Amino acid sequence: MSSITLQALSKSYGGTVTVDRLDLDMREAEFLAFLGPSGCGKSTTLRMIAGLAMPDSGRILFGERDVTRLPPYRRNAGLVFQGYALFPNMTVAGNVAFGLQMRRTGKAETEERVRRALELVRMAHLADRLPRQLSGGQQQRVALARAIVYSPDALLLDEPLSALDAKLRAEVRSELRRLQQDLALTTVFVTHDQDEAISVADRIAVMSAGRIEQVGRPEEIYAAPASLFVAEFLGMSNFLPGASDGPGRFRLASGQVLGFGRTGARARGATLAVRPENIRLSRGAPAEAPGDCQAVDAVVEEVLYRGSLVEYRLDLGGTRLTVHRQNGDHDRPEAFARGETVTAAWRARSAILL
Amino acid sequence: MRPFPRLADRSFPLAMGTLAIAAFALLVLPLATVAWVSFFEGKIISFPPSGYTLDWYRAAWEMPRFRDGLQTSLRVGLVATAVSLATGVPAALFLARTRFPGRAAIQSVLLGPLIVPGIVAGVALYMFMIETEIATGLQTAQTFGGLCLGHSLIALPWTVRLVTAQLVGMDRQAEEAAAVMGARPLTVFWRVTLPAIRPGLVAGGLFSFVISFVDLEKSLFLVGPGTTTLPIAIINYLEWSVDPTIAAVATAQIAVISAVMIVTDRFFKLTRAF
Ligand SMILES: Nc1ncnc2c1ncn2[C@@H]1O[C@H](COP(=O)(O)OP(=O)(O)OP(=O)(O)O)[C@@H](O)[C@H]1O
Ligand SMILES: [Mg+2]
Repeated sequence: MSSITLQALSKSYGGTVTVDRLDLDMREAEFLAFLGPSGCGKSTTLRMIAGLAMPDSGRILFGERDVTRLPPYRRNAGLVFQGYALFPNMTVAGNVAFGLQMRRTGKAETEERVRRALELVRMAHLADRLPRQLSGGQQQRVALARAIVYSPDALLLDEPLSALDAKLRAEVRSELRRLQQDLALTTVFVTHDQDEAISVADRIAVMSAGRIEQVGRPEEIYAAPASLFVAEFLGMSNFLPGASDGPGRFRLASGQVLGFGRTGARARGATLAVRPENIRLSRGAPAEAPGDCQAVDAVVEEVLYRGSLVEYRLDLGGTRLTVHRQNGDHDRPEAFARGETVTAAWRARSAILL
Repeated sequence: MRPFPRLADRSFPLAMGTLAIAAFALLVLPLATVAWVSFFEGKIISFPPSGYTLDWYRAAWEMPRFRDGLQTSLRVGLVATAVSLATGVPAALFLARTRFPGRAAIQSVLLGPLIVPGIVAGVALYMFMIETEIATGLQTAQTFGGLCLGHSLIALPWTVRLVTAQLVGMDRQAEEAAAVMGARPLTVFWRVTLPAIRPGLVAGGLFSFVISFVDLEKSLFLVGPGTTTLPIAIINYLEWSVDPTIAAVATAQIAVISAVMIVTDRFFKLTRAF
């Protein structure tokens, strides 16, 4: 195990910048998710960490060790691809033993460690099978065992769950998390699925066009996105267009001025973001309004029943405003009908200028 | 409710089946006829035969020209196979994995022997060998080495083709995974690449052998005293006499090829290579 440091890492393909002066510091045993849209350079970054792609400039450190110019077989990393890439001609045990054989581990120790790795992923009973005789989830677990059996300094996972169905994905995801914590593996996890990133990672690095837009704990990024891009990418938000109107004041197109509590680190200042679950609806002025209450009037356009919540879609002078109201039998808030004019209210501190 | 089968749905497989059987018969009948004739009793081939005998096989075996021919053909076939694999695999790797100017041209040149008529290639090879002999004093035409060289050349395209097909279809990520797990390039090749392209390798080797074993046109120009191959021996014999001996030799030749195919297929399903 070691920490991982990326310093001003850059890579271009045929004149197109794929990764652009990327900096990142990972603690030992940290689980970090690279989250970003397709083509933003997540896999390229991961491949550079693994040694499968050479950076044009910048440095990669595993702990104190500079691995930037080392070939992949000298880095001691573990890698799981989306397609698993198991060796079709070797058994499950053979696949898992490969990394140990490359390290000239003794026969008895190899057997023991292969057995333990397979037990960790609950595949010991299928050790003699060939990969083609396994289901997708089983292959995934073998690929994982194969990557961790030799205690890599860095565990690199490139969308390892995306080939699994939703239920299995959630299951393997929590298993992966448990394993990562038990073995204290420094792990980089590439995904474009925000739920996956939020539920599994210690920290998330949101990527866009070869750069890290924001890095932080999931709740930090969710509550305080640094830019419009991050807010759009992670979770759902309402974006109210307008312009800054002095400190802590934002003027909507309608002329109404609203307060806000936070400004994103990379804010452009033309959008106010409010999460749907932070908005309360009422007829007339809200009953128990906190001190920093911000209220607008809007027309209910659609009411969607979503099981655990009801989604209201409102029209606020041409801008769509989405409100989520939790369903539960503890308190029964008022229901609103289509066409009704209602008051939507939120606290200034949950509004972010982006 | 089950949909009612349309007429076309049923007649299509029937038509395909008939065609397949016809094509198969067309392929097998000449071979079967040769095999049948090889057992005819009379020296003059006539239908129906007056009786059956195995004498022609013994007769053929006792003729040194056929025995030596078979031996030469087997030896040349094995050498050509070895050379074709040893040079064809690196060539395929290079062609499939690197991009460089002139790559397409090299690819076409490598596949040339598949397209150029055998006689033309034979003449060209012969002239080339004579010219080099004049220039360097090194004799290659009508030697065993020259014969092997010619056969290797006609076998090579098969190996390149079949191995390239496997390389193009293979999962490169398995190689990358191996490298990350600590395998050096040569180890990656032995433990991951080679097993993955094995179908192409086996099929390439098999085709190399068979192509060499049955080659007539190029060998015509390359054989010399003591290096007569089996097909040349057959042609020479046919010039003077047509009797069931020749059918026996041909049947033996077919048997050798079939045996090679069957043995290969036993260890390795050939259909996987295509
Ligand atoms: N070997 C390569 N040669 C040329 N271009 C490449 C290569 N690898 C990646 N690219 C380009 O770099 C860009 C980023 O690719 P990358 O695979 O890193 O994206 P990604 O974030 O992993 O996307 P996805 O979520 O779709 O996997 C893409 O535009 C891609 O076309
Ligand atoms: Mg990717």
